[in-house]
Amino acid sequence: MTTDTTSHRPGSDRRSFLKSGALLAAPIVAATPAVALAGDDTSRRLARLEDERAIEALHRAWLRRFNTEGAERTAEFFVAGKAQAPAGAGCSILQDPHEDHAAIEISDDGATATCRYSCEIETRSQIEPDCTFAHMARLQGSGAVRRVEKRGLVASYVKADGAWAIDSVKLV
Amino acid sequence: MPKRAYPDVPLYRYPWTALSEAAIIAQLDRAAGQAPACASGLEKGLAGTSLRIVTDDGGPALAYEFLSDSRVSFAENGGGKVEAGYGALKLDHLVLIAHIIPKSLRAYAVVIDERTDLATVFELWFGGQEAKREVSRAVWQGYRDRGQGSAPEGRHVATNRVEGKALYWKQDAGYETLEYYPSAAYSHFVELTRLDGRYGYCGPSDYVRVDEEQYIYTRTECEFSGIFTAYAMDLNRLEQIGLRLGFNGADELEYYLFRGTGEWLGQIAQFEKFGDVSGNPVPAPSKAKGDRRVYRPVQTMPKMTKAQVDAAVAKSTRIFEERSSMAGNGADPVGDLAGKSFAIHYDGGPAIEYRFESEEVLQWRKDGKGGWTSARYRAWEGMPGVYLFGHVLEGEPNHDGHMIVADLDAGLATCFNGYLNTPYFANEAGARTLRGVVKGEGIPDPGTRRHAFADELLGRAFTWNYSPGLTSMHLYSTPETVSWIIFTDDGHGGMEWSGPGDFVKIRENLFFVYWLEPACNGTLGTILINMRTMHDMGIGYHCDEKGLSLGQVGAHARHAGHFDVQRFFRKEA
Repeated sequence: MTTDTTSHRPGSDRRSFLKSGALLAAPIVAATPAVALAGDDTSRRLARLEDERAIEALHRAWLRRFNTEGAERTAEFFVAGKAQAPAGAGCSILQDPHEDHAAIEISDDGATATCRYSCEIETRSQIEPDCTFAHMARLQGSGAVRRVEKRGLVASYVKADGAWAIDSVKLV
Repeated sequence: MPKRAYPDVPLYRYPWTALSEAAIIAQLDRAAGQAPACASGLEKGLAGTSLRIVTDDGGPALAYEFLSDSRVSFAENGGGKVEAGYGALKLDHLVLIAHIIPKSLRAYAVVIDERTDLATVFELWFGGQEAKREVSRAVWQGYRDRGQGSAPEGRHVATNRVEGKALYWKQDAGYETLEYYPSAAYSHFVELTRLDGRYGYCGPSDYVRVDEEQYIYTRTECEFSGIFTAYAMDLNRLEQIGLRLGFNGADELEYYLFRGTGEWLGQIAQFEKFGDVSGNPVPAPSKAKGDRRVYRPVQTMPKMTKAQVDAAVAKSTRIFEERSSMAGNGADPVGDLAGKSFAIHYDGGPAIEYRFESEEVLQWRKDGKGGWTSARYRAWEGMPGVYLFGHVLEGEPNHDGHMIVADLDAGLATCFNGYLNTPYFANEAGARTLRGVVKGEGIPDPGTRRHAFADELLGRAFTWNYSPGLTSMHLYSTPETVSWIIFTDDGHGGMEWSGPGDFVKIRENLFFVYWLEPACNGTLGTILINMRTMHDMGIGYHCDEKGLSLGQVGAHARHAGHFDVQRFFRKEA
C-alpha cells in the first residue's frame, strides 16, 4: 500500500495545495526551512531528501489518480494545469513493485528534477465481435483482451513557490 | 413434423410452438385447482396448519392456510384469499411447497428450512419473455414469520459452492439425467431417458446455499422448451426434492413434484480467488423483476442462404491471415512439411495427395483425378512427428476445409472435414471425421490400425487461456458433446453453451477434438490437445457475410478435473 504523505500533514488538507491550477507537492517540513536546521552540507542533504520524498509522494498521487479516474482528471498535478496522457485511454500504469526507490535527479539549483520509473503498461481492448467467445463474454460484462508491457516512465518536475509539480510525463 | 414431448432431433433444431398467453393460461388454470403429480407420493401433514412467509427487498409476503393435503387458501401481499391445489415434499429439514395461482400465468415454489425458518421463494410466471412458453423466475430470500415480531438471523444466499460438481440423478418417475454444474450462473444437463443422451444442453441456473450440505438449484431450458426445474439437494445423502413446471415439445403442461436419488460424479477445480464463495456472478441487464442474462445464440448468428454463402466465399476466403486474440497463446507454425509429399487415404474415401511447396503453400489432388490445386496452409507440430495442418479445398461445392492431424511416424491420419451449405443455415459448418493412413516415402504402413475414439477425454474439463483476460473452459460431457464455459473477470464460471463434438486419440496424451457451434455461430473449432505440455494448437473454420476463414486457435491449458461418467456411455473405439 502506498501513502500520499502530502495529504497527511497536520493542519493541512489537499485543498491547501491547490496553487495556480496545479496540485503541488511541498517538502514535508517546508514550513521550517531546512537550511535553518543545520550546517550547510547537512542542510543541503536534508533539503534534497525532503525534495525526493515530496516528488515521490507527488508521483504516487498522480499515478493513483491516473489509474482510477483517467488522465483527464490529473490536470492539477501539472505545473501548467494541463493534464498529460503518457498512455492511451483504457490503459493502466503499474509501478514496478520491486523498485524500492526510483533514482530522482535534482538539479543543482533545486528547481527542477527528473526521474525514470520502471513500470508495466496494461491495455485492455475488446475481443473481435464475430466469435462466440466474444458474444458470451460481452454478455457478462467482460470480453477484453488484457496486455501488459514493460516500459519506462520518465517524469520531469519543477519547483515553484516551494512546491513540486509535474512538468511532463513520457513513456520510453 | 409431428409434435413430440421429447424430440428426436437436437433441441436447437426442434420447432418449439410459439404458445400464446391464452393457450398457456388455459392449461395452467386446469392444473391450478389440483395438487401437482408426484410419482412417489406427496408429503402429507400440512393439513390444518398455516404459514406466513416474509421476503426481503420488496419481495412478496405469502400467507397459506392448508385446508387439506392437496388444497390451500393462499394470499399474496395481504390481498384476497385464493384457493388452489398444492403439493409438498420434504427432504430432511427442508420442505418444498409448490402451487399455481388460478386464473393467472403465475406460480410459486417455496423452500423452507424448518431448523432455521429461513425460506427461499421462487416466484414463477409465463409470458414475460420473447418466448412466452419460457418460465421466468424471481428469487426472493426471506423467512417464515411465526408472528413473534422478530426475523431470524441470516438468509439463504446465492453461492458458487455448487460450482464444479456433477451428479447423476434418477427421479421417482424414472427420469435419469447427468447434471453438470461447471458455472455459478449456468448448468449443463444430459437427458439420459427423456432424450437419447447423445448431447448435453445448457440453461441459466440459480444456486442457493442453505447450508454446507444442502443447496437449491434451478434451471430454465431457455432457447428450447422453456421448462423450469428447481430442486433442493442434499450432497451427503445424494437426495433431491423438486418441481418441474413448463411445456414440453408436445405443448403439454408438465407440473409435478419429484424425489430423486443421486450418484456422485466428481468435483473439478474452481478458479475464483480463495475465499470467494459468492454467487450470481453475471450482472443482470436491468433491475426488472427476475431479469438475468440469457445467452440466446440464434439471435446473434448470421443466417445465410446457399447463394449468399457461395457469393461470400467467392468474394473472400481468408486463410491464416492475421493471428487473432483466440491465438494469442498459440504455438508458432512450423515449416517441417515444406518439400515433403505424401497421400492420405481415408477409409471410405477420399484419397488426397499432397505436395508441400513451402511452409505456407501446398498442392493437393483428390482421388488421383484432375490437376493439382494450390492452397494456403499452416502446420504445427503437436508432438515430434505429429503435424496438424489445415487448408480449404477450393472448388468443392460445399467449400470443404480439411483440418488434419498426420502422424508421420505411425502412418496414421485423422481429418475433421468441415463443410458448408448445411440444411438449417448454409453458413453453419458441418463436420465429419475421416480416419485413414498416410502413404509416402519413409512412412510406415499401419496396416488396419487407426486413430481411435478418445474415451479418456470423456468427463474431463480443461481451461483454455487464449490471451490475457480471455479464458474459457471446455467440458467434454458426452462422447459427442463439448460444452464451453466463459469465465467472468473474477474467475467465476459464467455463461455456458454446448455443441456436438468428436474426440480422437492420436497418441498417448495427445488428442484431436472438434466442436460445432450450430444454431449459435456456425463455427467448427478443431484443436490438438497435448496433455503433457498442456497446450493446444488448433484451427477454426468459419463462414459469415465476410466470407470463409481458416484461423489459428491456441491456448494454454489447465486440467480442471475429471467427472466419472464413463459408465453412462458406450462408444466403440
